[in-house]
Amino acid sequence: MNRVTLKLAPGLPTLLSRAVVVFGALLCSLAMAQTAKKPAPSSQAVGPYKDFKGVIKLDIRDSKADWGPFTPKKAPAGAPTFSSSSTTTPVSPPGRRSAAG
Amino acid sequence: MPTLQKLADQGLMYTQWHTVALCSPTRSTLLTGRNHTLNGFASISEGANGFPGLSGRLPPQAATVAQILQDNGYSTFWLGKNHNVPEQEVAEGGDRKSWPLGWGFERFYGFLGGETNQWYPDLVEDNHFIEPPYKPEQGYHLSKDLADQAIKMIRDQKATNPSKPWFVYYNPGANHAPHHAPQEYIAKYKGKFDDGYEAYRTWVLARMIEKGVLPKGTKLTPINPMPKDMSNPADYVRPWDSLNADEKKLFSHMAEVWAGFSEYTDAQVGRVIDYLRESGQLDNTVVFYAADNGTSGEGTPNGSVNEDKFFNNYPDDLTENMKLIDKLGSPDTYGHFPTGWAVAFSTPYQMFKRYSQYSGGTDCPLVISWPKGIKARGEIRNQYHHSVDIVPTILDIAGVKMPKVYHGVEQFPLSGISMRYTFDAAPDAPTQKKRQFYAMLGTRGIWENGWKASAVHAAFLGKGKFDQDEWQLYHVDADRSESTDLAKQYPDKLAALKKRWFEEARINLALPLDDRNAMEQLGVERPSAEPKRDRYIYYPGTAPVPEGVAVSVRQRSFKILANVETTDADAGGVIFAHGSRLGGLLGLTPPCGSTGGPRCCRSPIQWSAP
Repeated sequence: MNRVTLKLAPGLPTLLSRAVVVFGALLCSLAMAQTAKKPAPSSQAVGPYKDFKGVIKLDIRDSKADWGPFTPKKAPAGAPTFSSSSTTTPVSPPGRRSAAG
Repeated sequence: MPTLQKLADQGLMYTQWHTVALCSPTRSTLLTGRNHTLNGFASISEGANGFPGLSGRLPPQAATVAQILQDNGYSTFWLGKNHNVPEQEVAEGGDRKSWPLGWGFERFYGFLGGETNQWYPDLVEDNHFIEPPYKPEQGYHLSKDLADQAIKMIRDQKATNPSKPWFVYYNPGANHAPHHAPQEYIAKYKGKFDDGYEAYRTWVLARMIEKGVLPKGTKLTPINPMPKDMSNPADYVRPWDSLNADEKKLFSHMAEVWAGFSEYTDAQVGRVIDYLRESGQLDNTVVFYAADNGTSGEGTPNGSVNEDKFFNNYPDDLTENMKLIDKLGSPDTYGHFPTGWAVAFSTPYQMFKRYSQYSGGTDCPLVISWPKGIKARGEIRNQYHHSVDIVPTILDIAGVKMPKVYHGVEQFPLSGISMRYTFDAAPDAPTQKKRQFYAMLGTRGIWENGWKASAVHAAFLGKGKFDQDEWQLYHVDADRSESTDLAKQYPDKLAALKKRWFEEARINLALPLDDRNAMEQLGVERPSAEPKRDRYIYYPGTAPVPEGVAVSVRQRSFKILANVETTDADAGGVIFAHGSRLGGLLGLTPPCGSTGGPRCCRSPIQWSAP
């Protein structure tokens, strides 16, 4: 079968890294350096997200993300796939498995 | 903008209607009527992070207006921009629950990201990716296509269910970058911006006052209002008189392209309005014509003929850009004007898109037309309102309530209020809105009863230390452009507003604040539907693979291997393409017949990258 395979070699810089980047980078700045962290004075309730296990402070640098509540459920590894097919009328009458049967 | 003007002439123009200051977050409010952070959209989809207000995933506690209207007998159609789908689910094999058809829309035709090439858009129809129906050389432009599709959807509905009302959520790609427009529309604005952005601000302020959009005495604010230690260099405006002749020529033309893009899109919206009028539907159609944020300053101080350069930290070069000046707006470019025009088109306010603490980021045009339901014609409305108020207004007019429980999930209360009372109100009647909080990319503000507190902190500043921010105080009712800081005169007032901001932030899940630079925010590792892998296999005949789920070749070496079996000596063409003509790479094989017979098919694929 015709196909194209991309094999990544990690960690080796290349000019091709300039290729194509996501839309959102348009917002990018001549970023200024991140400065020293300081404990923030405020944390926050998390509304209905009772299973949120992260930490929320004023500054994201002092906070801890938890993707758990925002991650869609995955099917278990190796889960079977299904194909359900049904003709609109019987291919053969009930009880007759073949023309001869 | 003839269509916008016609609608304003037969309806109402709002002078203090505000947004969230960024597109994707504002759009979440237009869908749900809740503040952007309750919707999980403290930032754009691509900036999602693992916090309740920043998840980039609409929660089940925020049912959409489409779901509610659909349940109450409406057809629901969405055209154009989306930008509220998690990036990892913008994929043919991805979860569709966050796509429009999962949110109560019965039809969708548009693009899922924040922007797209207007000549060659990344289109989705309903739940699958499609190719554009024809090409630019045949007259294609996304704005035109969206108008055609909107008319078709409504006609199809009317053919079978003529008594059924509809809700159309119509979002052109304009005026977001890339600025793409037919040359005849660009030509209409030749020379209109030659005096530069400061001169434009002075001219348009007087015009806005004359038209009653701004009160007499409204003052212009500085073009670079942020203190040096709290400003972002990428948002700096170069004074017009500091530009050389080529820069002035280029920058002026970039504004012409943008204006042409605006008017062309407005003309296409006009075709939809004309259809509604001709088919007898306009009289009882409530039209909201608005924008989703202040003018964009993403062009940086110098603008670009190819925004992809900016995305990739590839410096723009004036000499190179000048070579493409006559191609601006065409498929050969992917342009964005410089920050000076962002300030000019946000006159008279401070700053622009992303700056939620100033009206330059949030104040947007809004026209509401409803010939059957609004008696006033061509009047102004000065009541302060916000994008969270649109859904409550629609539900109010439709006579439908947002349920307290939807599909078994207790709902967030609506953050906004109905604007319907303004239809019959006097232009200067008091607003019924009491408060609106703002937060975006480290910027913060709060408006309450005609006063506003604004934290002095640039978007993407990268410094943090929010607890040390200085705050300004403006009496917006008396100082529409937020030109005079009253913090020292009214310290108690400011303290009360700051306290209120924290209360609102808590209620609206707006913390933590994130002012890190875009690369840091966008580069956050997010859960993927697929386990990590170092080999990606792509097959012929499949839909294009979107960026968010494609193999990432950034900052690393890679090999591309192609198994190609040809049975025809004349076969040839593209085997693999990544990106576009504006940046990317391409692998192709020539027709065997053209280079000497079948053996050449074993020769290496040719690679090229612009």
